[in-house]
Amino acid sequence: MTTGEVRPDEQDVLARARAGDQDAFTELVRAHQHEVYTLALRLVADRELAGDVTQEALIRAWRALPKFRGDAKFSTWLHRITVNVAWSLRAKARRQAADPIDLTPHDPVAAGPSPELSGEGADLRPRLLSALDALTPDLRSVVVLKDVYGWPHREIADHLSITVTAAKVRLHRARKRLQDQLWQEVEGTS
Amino acid sequence: MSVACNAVRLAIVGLDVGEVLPAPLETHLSSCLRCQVEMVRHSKLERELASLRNVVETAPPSLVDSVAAGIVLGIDPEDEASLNLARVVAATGALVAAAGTVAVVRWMRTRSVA
Repeated sequence: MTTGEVRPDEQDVLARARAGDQDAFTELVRAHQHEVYTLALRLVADRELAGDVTQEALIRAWRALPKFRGDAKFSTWLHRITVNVAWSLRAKARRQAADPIDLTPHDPVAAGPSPELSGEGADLRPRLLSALDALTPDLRSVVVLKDVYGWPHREIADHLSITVTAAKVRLHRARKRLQDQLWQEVEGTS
Repeated sequence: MSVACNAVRLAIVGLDVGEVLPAPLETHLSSCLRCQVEMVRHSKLERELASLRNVVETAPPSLVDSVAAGIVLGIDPEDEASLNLARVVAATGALVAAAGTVAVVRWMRTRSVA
């Protein structure tokens, strides 16, 4: 499975796709679908919605491809589109849903923490995924983009239409909540 | 918890990878076991979050077909109804029809070129 790195032979496929070759673009979709889906899933914490975000992001990418100049890596460009789509779908859901509960995951990605995983030395990942899912979308987006994907504060702020200060405040809150959730469980069971 | 502990823990949560605390806070940290525990936990959290970058989830099997159908049918991603149409097409196997259309169009293009 690809991790989204650009392979040398991808340049040729990319050039053909930019020229309007749908088969070439489908090849790119096959190569990058899992990477794009993973980012979408981390952002929206819902498998069904992540599938929608991925589909829409890739169709948008096809339409915008002639404008892709190659300044950034293709995968980075796809990531930016994915973040924009995730954010706009979320805003759309916010406008449409009278009940804000619609914005919370209805198909949680990770199972809740099990007692045997609650020890300080136990595998942190399942509990971390669970804690990430439990964050509000605002906080989750920032911590995922900064701490998982390594985006700079400025870029996060631009994509989420917030100030850099707001991005930093959200990151601080998100980390604090993750820590509280992860380590309280440990202290609660010791 | 002392005022110094509060300040140090607040600063720790804001640390990015490779950053260190300001000197006065570092001095407190070196002598406070509770704050050292916080620092270890923060580092662990940051490492684990960064490692998620290498965890790739598997996209739904129908995704490639849905995207291909969306492209062939000229779906507008801003229009939810047309996106749903692409999903239905992919799910019901009508993609075959779309692919057939593409084949016919290509065949017609080939003929017109020839």
